[in-house]
Amino acid sequence: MERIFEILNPFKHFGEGAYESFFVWLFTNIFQGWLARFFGFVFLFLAYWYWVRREQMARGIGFLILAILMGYGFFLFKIMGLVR
Amino acid sequence: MSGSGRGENSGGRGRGGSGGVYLPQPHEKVRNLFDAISDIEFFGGAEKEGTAIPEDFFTFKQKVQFWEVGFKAAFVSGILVALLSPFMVGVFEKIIPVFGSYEPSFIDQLYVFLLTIGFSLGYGIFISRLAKYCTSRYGITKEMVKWLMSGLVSGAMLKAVFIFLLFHFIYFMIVTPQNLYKAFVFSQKNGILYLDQRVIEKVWYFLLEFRKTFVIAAWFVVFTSILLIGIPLGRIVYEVWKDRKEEKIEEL
Repeated sequence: MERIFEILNPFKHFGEGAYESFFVWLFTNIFQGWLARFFGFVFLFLAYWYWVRREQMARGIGFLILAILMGYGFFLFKIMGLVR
Repeated sequence: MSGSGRGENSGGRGRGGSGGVYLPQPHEKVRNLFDAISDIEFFGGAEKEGTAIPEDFFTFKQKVQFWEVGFKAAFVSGILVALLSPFMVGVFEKIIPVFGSYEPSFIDQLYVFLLTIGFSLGYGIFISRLAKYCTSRYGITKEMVKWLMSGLVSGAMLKAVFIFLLFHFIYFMIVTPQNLYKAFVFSQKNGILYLDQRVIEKVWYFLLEFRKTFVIAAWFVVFTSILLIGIPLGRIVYEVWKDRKEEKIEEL
């Protein structure tokens, strides 16, 4: 059992600083630039499609949350200190 | 009444039971806008091909359900607009970043605009398809559209008034400089929030700027409500006008 936790513990494989900087890099790059714009428009389209066209509100809301996250995620995670 | 498989049932039972006279099926609950539009299109198709079905077949229970569906569609999409519009205004005012940028490009502004207004716009356009059933040749279908539209107008108006008052209440009564000052002092004194002086200043100025977005957002919500009502109503007026014009030409 301890062996499993040892494998799952990222600090055994990476340094603490490297691990943190990876997540900072990840959040910084996901929520800004062309990649965020691309995913944002895709999620927004899917939100419309499912909510308005197919009337599947739950799926529509799910995609809408993702679209909002793509647009405003940078701001949100900046407040949380996850992006610089 | 709604749902798949109704078409063949109604035709079969209607013809079998009353010698070729179309009769609507026993009522099933209209759960959402999709059901309501499907029902309207179904009855519209039947009336277009045959004679107008008397409005009496559209029972009071069904009327309430159609009204409810319209109301919910307007209210839910409106609440979403209300939640997102202060952030949209924040992006346009360059207070909040979008895609990590405080200088939004045209594409960024379009995205934020669609994210905020898209659902009202989508519902409006989607419902406006039903305008063609508001002409004089339709009976029950016209009545169905009328009840759906009355729910939509009620929902949109109620939401607009509620959000307008709420946002102004937030601006004038809640997020005031005095209240913000009190909140900062209280949280610092009671150890709820330990913030650096520089950070406090930043948050203070941000909130003072952001509170202004509520006033603009309040008016924006009114504008989107007008849009949600206006798109289908405009189309209905156009269809009725077109119908009357055709009738006049036929009379000549």
